[in-house]
Amino acid sequence: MSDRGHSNHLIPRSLWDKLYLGWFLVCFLMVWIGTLFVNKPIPVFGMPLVYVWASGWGIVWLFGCLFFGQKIEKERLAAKGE
Amino acid sequence: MESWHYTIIIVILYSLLILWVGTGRWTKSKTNTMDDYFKVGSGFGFIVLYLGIAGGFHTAFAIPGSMGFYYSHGVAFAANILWTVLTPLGVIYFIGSRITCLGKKFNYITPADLIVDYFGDGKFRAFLAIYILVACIPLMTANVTGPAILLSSGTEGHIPYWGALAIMGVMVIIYVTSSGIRGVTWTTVAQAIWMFVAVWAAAIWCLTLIDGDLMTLFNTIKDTEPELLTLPGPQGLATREWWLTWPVFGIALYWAILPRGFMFFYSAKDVATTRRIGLTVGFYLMAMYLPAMVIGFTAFYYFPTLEGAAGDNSFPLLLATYAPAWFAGIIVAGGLAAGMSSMDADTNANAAMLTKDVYAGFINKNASDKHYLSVGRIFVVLLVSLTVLAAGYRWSLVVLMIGVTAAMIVQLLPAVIAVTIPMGRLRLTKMGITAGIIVGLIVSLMALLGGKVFPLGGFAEIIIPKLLPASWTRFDASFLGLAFNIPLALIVSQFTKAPDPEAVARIHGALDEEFGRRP
Repeated sequence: MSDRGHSNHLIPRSLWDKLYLGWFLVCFLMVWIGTLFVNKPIPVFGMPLVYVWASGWGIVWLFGCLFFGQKIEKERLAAKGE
Repeated sequence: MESWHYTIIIVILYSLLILWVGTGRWTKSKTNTMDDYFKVGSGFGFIVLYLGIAGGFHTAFAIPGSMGFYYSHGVAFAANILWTVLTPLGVIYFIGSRITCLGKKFNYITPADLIVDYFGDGKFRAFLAIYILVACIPLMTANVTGPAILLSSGTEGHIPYWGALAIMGVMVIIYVTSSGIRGVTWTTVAQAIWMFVAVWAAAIWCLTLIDGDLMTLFNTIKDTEPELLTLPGPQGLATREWWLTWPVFGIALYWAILPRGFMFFYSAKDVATTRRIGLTVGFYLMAMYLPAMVIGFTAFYYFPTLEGAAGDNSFPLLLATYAPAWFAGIIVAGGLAAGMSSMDADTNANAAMLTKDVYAGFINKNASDKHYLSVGRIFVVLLVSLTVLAAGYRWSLVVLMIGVTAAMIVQLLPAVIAVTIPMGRLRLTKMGITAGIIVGLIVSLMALLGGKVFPLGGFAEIIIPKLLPASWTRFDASFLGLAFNIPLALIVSQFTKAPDPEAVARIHGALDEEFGRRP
């Protein structure tokens, strides 16, 4: 790739981009790495802790990124003048 | 009437519904072109494509595979929660939307169109098309075995395994040859709804079996097989190495760049549609798998001594033993929906590659679109027949086969990222990408197949030597392949011819225009 003259799309641009990425990484690590630290046969409302932890953070991850993603979309539309 | 009669009646009703949805007037295109057969040139809106992608993402692993996984490996299944969120919010939102952008702008039809437009055409196109096709055949085969077993056992063997395969194959041939991606997407919408209802209905039914008492279920499992409640699970599957690599590299990163993913992204109405799907489809994917815990553990509660493949089929056994016949029929049809929703999408995508990248690219370059569509339909019939025949051998290697597909497809990731994400000074070339794919594939296949013995008809056997250290093969094979692929691709790219600067400027300019204009 010779990308001189094109912006680096790996770098988040706006505040909402940064918040999306930050939220994404925190929740991802909570499910990916955090689950290894709650690996005990403990019931939470009758369900295994590992299951509740991973799915709970998964839901938090989804709602947070949905919120930030909508903000990014509004920003895009505003930048395009729509 | 006997109980299996009800199952057959419901499966017939399901089949008629799918054929009606997959061949109705809403699936007909106004133009007779490849652009409007393999993908939807004008583009699907949010709701249809959302359910199309949601259903198309599910294979037979949804029903009955996920329940069998809980039965055999317990909460190791939580690894799947990772990909059901990472794939939409990471891969679809970030890369899928860029594939939509470029597909719309430059009228791509196949995955190879996107890659060769950037790196350069020629034999590289054929290499990519054949590579992707070979990668997808094991997944297509694995996808139909589970539903076929479910249908056969749900009818107490009155529909034999091969008959179940043939039913699925004939249905897919009818609506894919009739309507291409439109038939695929509309049927997948119906299948996505059906399988979602089936999974949740099954979970609620299982709760009634245990009187809604999750605590008793938990304590019973804790007393009989406590390893099901923690990692790595009773069979030691979810080691730290597996947990840290499989859900990310073995599934999340490859799942959305399967050819079927490209066809869906190309078929989006606009970039915003794909981004909105990326933000929201995780809710569907996750909700599909959450009930599997209750179902798998309830099956264990009733049949705690099943081993091996019998454990994988614990949910069909639970249905056959305790469920009312009509209810079992709904679940069996849900299993068919899960298998067919990915089989049809894979068939359409692979037929597109064979037609556009191989036939139109090398065999008959200047034929009419009408001719190419006829050839495409022949490829659909051949691919489905091949899949059904291969599945007819009752492969007991389903997990291994899916692993092969994952290991092969994920090796394309550097190429896809290079095209879709401008990254400043990082540089990849066609030679670098090709070298990375080949070496990555060799390493991952060595990890997957090393030490395996494959009998040849009972009179001989193939023994694959273990060439990688045992400490390496604890990691997922896709990860190992990428660990060799990416550095090699970068090194070789430093010494080989860069892509045409005009193509790079055109493609990355289009991405800058769509994704880089904000303050």
